Amino acid sequence: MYDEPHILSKAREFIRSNRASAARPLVDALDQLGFDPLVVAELDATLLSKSGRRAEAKLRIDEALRSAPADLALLLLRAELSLDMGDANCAAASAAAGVVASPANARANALLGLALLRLGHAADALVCLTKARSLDPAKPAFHQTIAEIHMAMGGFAEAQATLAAAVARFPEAHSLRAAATETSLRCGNYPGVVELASAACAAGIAGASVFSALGRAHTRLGRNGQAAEAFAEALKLAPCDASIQHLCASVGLRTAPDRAPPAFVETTFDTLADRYDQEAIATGYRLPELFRTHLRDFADRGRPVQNLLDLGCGTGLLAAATGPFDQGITGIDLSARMLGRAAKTGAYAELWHEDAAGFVLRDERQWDVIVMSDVLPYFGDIAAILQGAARRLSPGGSLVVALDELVSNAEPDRMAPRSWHLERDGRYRHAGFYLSMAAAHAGLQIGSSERLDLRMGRDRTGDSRVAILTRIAS
Amino acid sequence: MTRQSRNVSFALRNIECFDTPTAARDSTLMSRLNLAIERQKAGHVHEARLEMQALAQADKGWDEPVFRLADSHRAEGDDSRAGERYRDCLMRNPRHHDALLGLAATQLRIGNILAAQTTLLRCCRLHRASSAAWDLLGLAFGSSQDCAEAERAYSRAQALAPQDMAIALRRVDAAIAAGTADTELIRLEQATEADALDIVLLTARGVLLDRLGRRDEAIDILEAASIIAPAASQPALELANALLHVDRNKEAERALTAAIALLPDQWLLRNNRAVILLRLLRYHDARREIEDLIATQGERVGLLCNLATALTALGEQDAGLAAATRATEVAPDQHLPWRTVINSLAYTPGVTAQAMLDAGRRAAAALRHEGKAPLVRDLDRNRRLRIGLLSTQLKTHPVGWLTLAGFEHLDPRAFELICIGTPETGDPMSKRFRAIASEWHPTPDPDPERAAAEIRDLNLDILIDLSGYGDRGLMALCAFRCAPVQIKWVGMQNHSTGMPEIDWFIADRWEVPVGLEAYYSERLLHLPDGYVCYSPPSYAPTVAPLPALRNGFVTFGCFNNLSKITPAVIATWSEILRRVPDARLLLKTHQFGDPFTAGALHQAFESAGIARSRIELRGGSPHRALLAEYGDVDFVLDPFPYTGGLTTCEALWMGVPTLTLAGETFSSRHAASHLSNVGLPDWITTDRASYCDEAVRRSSGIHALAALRNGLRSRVKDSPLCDAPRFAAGLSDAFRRAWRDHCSSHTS
Repeated sequence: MYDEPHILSKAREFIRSNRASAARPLVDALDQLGFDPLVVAELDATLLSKSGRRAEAKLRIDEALRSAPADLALLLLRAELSLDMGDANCAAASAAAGVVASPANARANALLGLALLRLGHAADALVCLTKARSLDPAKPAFHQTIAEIHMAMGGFAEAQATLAAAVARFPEAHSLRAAATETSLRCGNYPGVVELASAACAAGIAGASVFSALGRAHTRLGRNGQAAEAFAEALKLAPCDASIQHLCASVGLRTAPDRAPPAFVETTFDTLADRYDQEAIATGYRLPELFRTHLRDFADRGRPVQNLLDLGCGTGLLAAATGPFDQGITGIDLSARMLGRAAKTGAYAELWHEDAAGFVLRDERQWDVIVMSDVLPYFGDIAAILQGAARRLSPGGSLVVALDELVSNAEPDRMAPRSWHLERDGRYRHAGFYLSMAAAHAGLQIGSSERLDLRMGRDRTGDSRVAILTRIAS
Repeated sequence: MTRQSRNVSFALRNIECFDTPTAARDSTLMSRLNLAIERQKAGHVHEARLEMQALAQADKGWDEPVFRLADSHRAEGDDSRAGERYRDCLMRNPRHHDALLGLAATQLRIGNILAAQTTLLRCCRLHRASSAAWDLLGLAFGSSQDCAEAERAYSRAQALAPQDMAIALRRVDAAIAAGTADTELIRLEQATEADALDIVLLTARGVLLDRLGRRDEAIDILEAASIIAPAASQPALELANALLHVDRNKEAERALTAAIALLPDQWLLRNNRAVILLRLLRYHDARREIEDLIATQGERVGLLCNLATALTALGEQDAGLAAATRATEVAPDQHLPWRTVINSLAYTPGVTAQAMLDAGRRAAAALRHEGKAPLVRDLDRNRRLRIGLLSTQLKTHPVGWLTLAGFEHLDPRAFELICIGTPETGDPMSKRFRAIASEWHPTPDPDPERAAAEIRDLNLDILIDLSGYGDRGLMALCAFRCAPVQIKWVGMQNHSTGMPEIDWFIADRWEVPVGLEAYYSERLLHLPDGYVCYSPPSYAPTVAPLPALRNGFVTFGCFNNLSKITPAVIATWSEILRRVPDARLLLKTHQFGDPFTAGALHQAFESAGIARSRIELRGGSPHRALLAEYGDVDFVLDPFPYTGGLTTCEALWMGVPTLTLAGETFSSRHAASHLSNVGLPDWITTDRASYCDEAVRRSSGIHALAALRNGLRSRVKDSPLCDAPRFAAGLSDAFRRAWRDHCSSHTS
């Protein structure tokens, strides 16, 4: 009466096309009809996982595997699920069992590679993914992951070459085009981005991310008109993308918002993370040195620093430049890639993947020193975040901020001076008077302030300001 | 027809033969009654009734002859007499289940709802296990808006008849009316989790999700139900309906075909499939289906209108107009035939502006105008205005390509955009509309009056119709006066609407030049440049070199749909081809994917003396590929009287100019507007002779064509046609002008 093979085939089809609510009744029907329990368990767990009920999914798989420990589909599903749940060890064990069960299974090898990458064994991961690619060369995702591994190993050229070859092999694959442009952007290869993006446009398959990368590359290359055109196209394809909206605002296509959206900051710093330290050292990034001086002065006043909050900690350059504190350093950043590198320094007691403005509202601890080295350039209106940070300062504590300074060309009697301005790179510049006003509004005063060249490379010279703010005595 | 109104006729048991316990009855009497019933079924109603009356007289304690008599009257629609007889029957047997139901049904039909409820409550008390009684009680309570009581009654009915699909679906409707849809949904979710094979409940769950506007989930559930129980018709039907709402027409056609296989006698399903085939641009298949239905069902209005649409789309404009006109004769007071006439007339050779205006007025007159006075809002002339965009086509569609860039560049501090009528989908242009809209109201109520009330409740200042009388066009709602200022813009904007409630008509000086204003019932809201702003796609290929340079001959082209290619157009193009003997003509439209249609067009050209080898017909293709095919065209020959709108813009973007023949009607001047807007007024002709002469002359100037083509994209890009900020400034002024005019008229 019931066509079980057809129901099964449609259930799998719906799962593949992410139609969980269509698949669920079919899986339940198969279950009620007494269909093969291992197949039902696999489908059930997949659906549970897709609906975010990962722990239940894992239990379901574990239970099924007890009766059939070598079931390949279940092993690979557990490996995938474990990766999603951040349990790389379990993922590696499950995928390895899958490889043992079926050495020529490309997915098993790929999953093992991904797990090993998470466990920090990039070279081994590369071996697994290379094998997966040789077993199933028609899968663009394997090529993309190999490029990711090269990036993780610092092999920028290899990553770009891998993706270039993959794009040539799979010219219709949007995801590869996007990955190739994004990777070249992360490598700082702006002419390469333009070349790849232009090829994608000519082929008629450029998506929003390709146009966005193209716009950012044009910005870096100083081609502002072309950057604006690229951002406008990106916005057409992804009209609700907050990062693209921000980039459009940065070239004057939209009204500038009060702050950069967190997604934009995250993407920006994820893109920079791979070569951030390298460039910082090469271009003589001066803030760590200034900061160390400030901490020494702080200690000289007879009060050693107990704890430190590093908002926008990035790769941990500041923490690496300071000694340990009794209660340690807490780092906050929106970029997971940056945080990954900060974790490797071992300098932080805590690291939070979070928006700085949100953290100072949420966390009620007090800090002797709070530093915001590259946070304010992503806020136009800085009043709220300064207020939040001020509330978190312990008595006698200090807030160290760096910002890009806006030098107004307006004649004072003809035009009201601007407080802040959104620049073409998506960062904000702030007028000196505005920092003073916002600080005062937050109950802070500027203890010392120095104008200098902080930023790495580019065309920025002598336009940054570091200020040390303390509470206004009541 | 709603489920509730159907209920009255099918809730009653149709007893084929007398089956009441007969222990105390004379078998002769029973035989006579059965014979009378058979006579009634055979159409001998009068004789049957006489016999039933005689039997009732013969045995005054016997209820059944009286009940049969009542049923006979009810079958004939004589509710008054049927009611009397049911009462007689109940005098003889106060517990008679079917008489109680019959009486209640007649009471409901004559509008005596309270009496029906009383009868049914009595029936339910006497026959607690009767699902039909509880079901009809649900209907009776629903009729008096006692929604909670109705839901309770359906709940009892469903408990007694869990496999009755109709009761389950009526309970869904009742739950929505009672405001307990969420509770009902939870109940259905839990019940279907507990019994995954219960198709009635699974279908009810899908239907409820659909009613709640959760269409994707509804489709998922209904599709699952169809897969589990492929022999059940209701899931397939409901699935087709849900898919239609979100324009997933191919899937809808499959679902409907499955339902038709299960219910082959329901001609309406086949009509619905024909409508889907029209939407899928499978006009030839649609035509066959409709003609077959007309042959078996007669000339029904809907069928004639659908036939008109199919014929016009197949290039048989005169036949299309004839079918539409026939529909107006069958139902002169209905709106649908008249709007179909407009949609056929716009393509018909020789159509005049006056004829279009008259047709528009006639269609508008068939709408309900009884209504609502103009709405007056806060008459601040400079305040931020709430502007409604009324259309089912706020997506990748000519409406999107020609209006979106303008809307995107309106100042959001001056105008707030409210989108009405387009289902939420992943369509890229729909997402862009979504991004600029402060509100999105996907599906108006199917009932026009309620839909209009919903729109009025949005407190709009201006309502812009962007759908016209096209398929699922919503313009008719404007007849209810949904906003104080109502404007017609792109979207089947083929000429004046003729509707008194539409105040303004967006145009430009080329679309409606001096002298043609009189043929518009609306006031004209002229924009400073063209009346639209074209937003070219980022994936458009680069402009290819002039093909004549490599071919050594000219290739004329036209990528407009077949509806626009009339016999007069074919004759004109044939003359041009005779005068330019080495030239070719490349026609491309989705209809040519059908060999029958392509063959008919080839035949038409051959009849005009043009060899088949000189005419290339290409079917539909993805948009980028279509644009690339302009690389094979030297210049476009525009059809007439319905000229190319978006098609002209696309050709220009691909470096291909269009030679047009402008007429009187709005749609006969689209290409003229776009060409003027990009500075190519010399490509506009005004009569057939000069159109032919100009085509011949241009054909001899290959190098001039090449030079024009080389710079055309940048020329178009820099022209007002693509200058969205400039266009938006003009549009903004126009909206403000219309609003201030409204303010002035209400403050003076």
